[in-house]
Amino acid sequence: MKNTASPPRLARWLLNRFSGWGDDFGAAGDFEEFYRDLAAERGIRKARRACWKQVGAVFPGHLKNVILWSDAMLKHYLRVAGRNLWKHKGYSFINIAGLAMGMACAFLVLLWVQDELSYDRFHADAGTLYRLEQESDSGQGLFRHAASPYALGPIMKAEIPEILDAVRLASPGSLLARAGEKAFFESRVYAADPQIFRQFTFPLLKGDPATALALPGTLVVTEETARKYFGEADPMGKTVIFNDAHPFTITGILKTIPPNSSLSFDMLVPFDFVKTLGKYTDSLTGSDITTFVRLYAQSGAATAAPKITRLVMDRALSEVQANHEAAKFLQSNPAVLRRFQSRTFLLRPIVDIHLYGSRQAIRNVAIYSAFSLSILLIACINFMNLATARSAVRSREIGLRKVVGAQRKSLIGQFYGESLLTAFLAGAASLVFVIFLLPPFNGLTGKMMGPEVLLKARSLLGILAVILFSGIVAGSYPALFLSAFRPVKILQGRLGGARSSVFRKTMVVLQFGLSILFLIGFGVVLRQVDYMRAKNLGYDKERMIYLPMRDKAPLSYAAFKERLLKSPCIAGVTATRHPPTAITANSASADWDGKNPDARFTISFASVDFDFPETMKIEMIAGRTFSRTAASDIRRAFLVNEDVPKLMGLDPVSALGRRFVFRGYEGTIVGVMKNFHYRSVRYATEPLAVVVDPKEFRYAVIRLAAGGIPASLEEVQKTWRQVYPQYPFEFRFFDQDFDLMYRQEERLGAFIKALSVLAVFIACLGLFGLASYMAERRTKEIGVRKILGASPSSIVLLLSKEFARWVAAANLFAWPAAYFLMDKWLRQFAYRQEIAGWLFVAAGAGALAIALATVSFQAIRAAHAAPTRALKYE
Amino acid sequence: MKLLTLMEEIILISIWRLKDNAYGITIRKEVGKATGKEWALGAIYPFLSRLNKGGYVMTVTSQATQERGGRHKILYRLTDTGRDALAEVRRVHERTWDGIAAWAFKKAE
Repeated sequence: MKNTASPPRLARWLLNRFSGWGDDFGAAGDFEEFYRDLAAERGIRKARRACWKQVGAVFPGHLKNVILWSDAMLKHYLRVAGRNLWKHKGYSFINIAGLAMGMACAFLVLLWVQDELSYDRFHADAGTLYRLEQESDSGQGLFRHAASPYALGPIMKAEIPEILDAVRLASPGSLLARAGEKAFFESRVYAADPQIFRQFTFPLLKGDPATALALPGTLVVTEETARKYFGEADPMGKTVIFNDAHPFTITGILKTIPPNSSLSFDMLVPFDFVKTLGKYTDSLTGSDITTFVRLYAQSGAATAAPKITRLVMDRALSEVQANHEAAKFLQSNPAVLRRFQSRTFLLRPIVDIHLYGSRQAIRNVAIYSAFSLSILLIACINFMNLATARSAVRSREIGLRKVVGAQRKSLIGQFYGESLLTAFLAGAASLVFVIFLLPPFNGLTGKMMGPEVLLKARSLLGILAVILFSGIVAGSYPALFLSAFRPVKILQGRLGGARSSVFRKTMVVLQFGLSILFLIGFGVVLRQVDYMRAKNLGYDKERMIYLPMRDKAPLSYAAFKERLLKSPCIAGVTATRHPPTAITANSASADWDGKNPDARFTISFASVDFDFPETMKIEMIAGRTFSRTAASDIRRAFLVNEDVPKLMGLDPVSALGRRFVFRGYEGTIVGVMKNFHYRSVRYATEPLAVVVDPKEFRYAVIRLAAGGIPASLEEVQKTWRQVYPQYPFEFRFFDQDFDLMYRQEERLGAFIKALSVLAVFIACLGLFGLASYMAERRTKEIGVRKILGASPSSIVLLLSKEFARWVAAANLFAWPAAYFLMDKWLRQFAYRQEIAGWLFVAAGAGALAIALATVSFQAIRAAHAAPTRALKYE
Repeated sequence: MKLLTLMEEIILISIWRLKDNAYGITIRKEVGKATGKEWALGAIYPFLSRLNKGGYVMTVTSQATQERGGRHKILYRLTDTGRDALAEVRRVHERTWDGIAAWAFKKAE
């Protein structure tokens, strides 16, 4: 039970401590009385608050006192620290250089992390903005996506009291935009509610945010988009025609959308444009657009989401009941019914979209932070090790200081002063590194950060924190350990060094362990990326390009194909519904004779043109490919991959001729293709069925003939211009897509590569310092050994042996850790390059070789020194 | 003779006014009345300490009472030096302010 009769004990204690009045004035009693009076007068809570206020009032004065008094001591510590640094320039250089590199790494990652965490926070109302998402049970676990029905926005706003406003963003798909001579396909166009400029902080450079999207036919474009169409001319009031049918007038120019916005677009049109395009529906059963909600208060999110779910559910149910056909469809499709019934709406704070949404950026934030902290740790260890190694030398100084009367407290202060000074020097040096390293770092991470990001208050705080952290971590061991020496023992020369040397060894083992870990990680990532790149896709992706056919372009596909095939530069032409490198459509609706009616299989699906297997060079296992001469092949014949017969429980040959019903197509299986990768190699191939449906062509897929690629491309472009004079020519190489697919892994690889180089280098820097120190300490021993007839090589061996043992020991913990971590990482890939044993051996041996090279430099020098000089000293 | 600072003067007068009941809490209240603002409890003590060292006040330790959580109370009383100092300050004030009307420093409207 809290003692309410007297002031908070902590407050009393603090007051007593800060004030330094002692009890000469009866202050404690006064305080007590003060509290009781207040408690009786205004209640206990007020009294307690008043007590804390008193503490707060005393604190600044106390702080001033402390600082004023310690100012003198602080100056002294810094002076001593400065002298020490100067006296041992070599050690200081190793310390500062190592720490600076570690810090530069930490700062870069800090900037990156800050950038990641800053996503969407630039909106003035970021705290109350939410994206509406829904979760449904697809039969294979919960599936969450950020889609909502067209009509929901205004309904929610009217019905749910927590909601202040809702903005709907619908994508009308890719539109052909024409302004005067210029025409481009624009896929980043949104149809949006006019209050978008009120809800989000997307400022307009020109135009009135209140009316810019209010009327039909208005259009808002970003600065760059305006420049793309109109150059330097004033775009306001200019006309852009979409799909050669819908004229729009520019009524606003958007300021460039910041790169840390998860919501990004080039053009905005009024929401009703989707109605013009005939895409809009009043039904609440669908989920087609994105809706952003602004609440009155953050606290409303928890209560608003269930209300949205109930609202949609009620309306959608009555909608289905009113529509006999829809009800029947639902009843006959248990999976659809389950998805329908399990639909739950959730509100995701806008600031969480980037970090916790589908991009899961928080995972990278954690990984990269851990990496950079390890590097910083390695650098701090250098400092600790060198300081403890020198403790024997320093111990005289400490002993004398103690004898003269230094308190342990002031010694601790001195050591911390030294490490903090080193850390600040290193911090200053690292900022220079950072400024030079930012451009390559941006290239690695795909960010656009200039040196000015360092000057943000948050960055400065972070930098200060890193400096203080490393200063304190690096200084703690020497400060706490060395200051505890007993002066008598020190001056007698009896110093138990065993403990500190065990500590030192452990630290070196840790350093090299981390370095080896990075090396192995680098190897594994590199091998995996190479493996995925080199993986046999099951088709030939060389010289393959694809062209999106937008708007009405598919109607003339046949003519386009015919003309192309006349050219010797073109080896094959086909068409698909999806980009051929990423076929993502699938369905569980497949049916065939003899199928267990309860079983459900997800099968990927693609609509293709006749020559699909031939153009892609996909091998057939059984049956034939599509035949143009068999009229029944259009929409009535299936090609499947080898996984489909397996699902059916048949071998490929006996699957031929079977009836197959899928996605509204009904026909027979005419051929079985060998499995090929129709999407990123990250994922396993799954059962796939393709059918010819000319109505569904959206991409022309072309294989260029051997010979000059530029000439072939020229030919394709020329043909395109003839067939489609009204459409701009766009194409992609398959290779471009594959490059993009592995970009994240390649970035990780490049990052780990840089880190492992840095880790090894910093660790060696420390080892070099340690070795030179050891050689120095054992000068006498080496001299005696040499006089007694030891050869230089035996002495090199003697000195190197111990270090070699430490580095070898580092493998003991690095290997299992690396195996565990990399195994976990590899699990995200369907096809992985198993972790090779030689990688571990190579990393360990490499680290050992580098360490030995570092150490032997010192060892050889010591071994070749003239023994007389070694014995003469003292 | 050394002149008192204004704050010292205010506190000394407060102690004189409070007679036998001058200690931390009451002095703070009195000072608050005179200056029209709330003083932190801790703000009073440094002045009391200075006055004590200067010999302007003396302290008397009273009996511990229940209402103070069993702690004793330290009462302050003016010493003769304190009285003299106040008298001196008053004289200085009078001479300094002599012939200056109350409205002299009012802002011209």
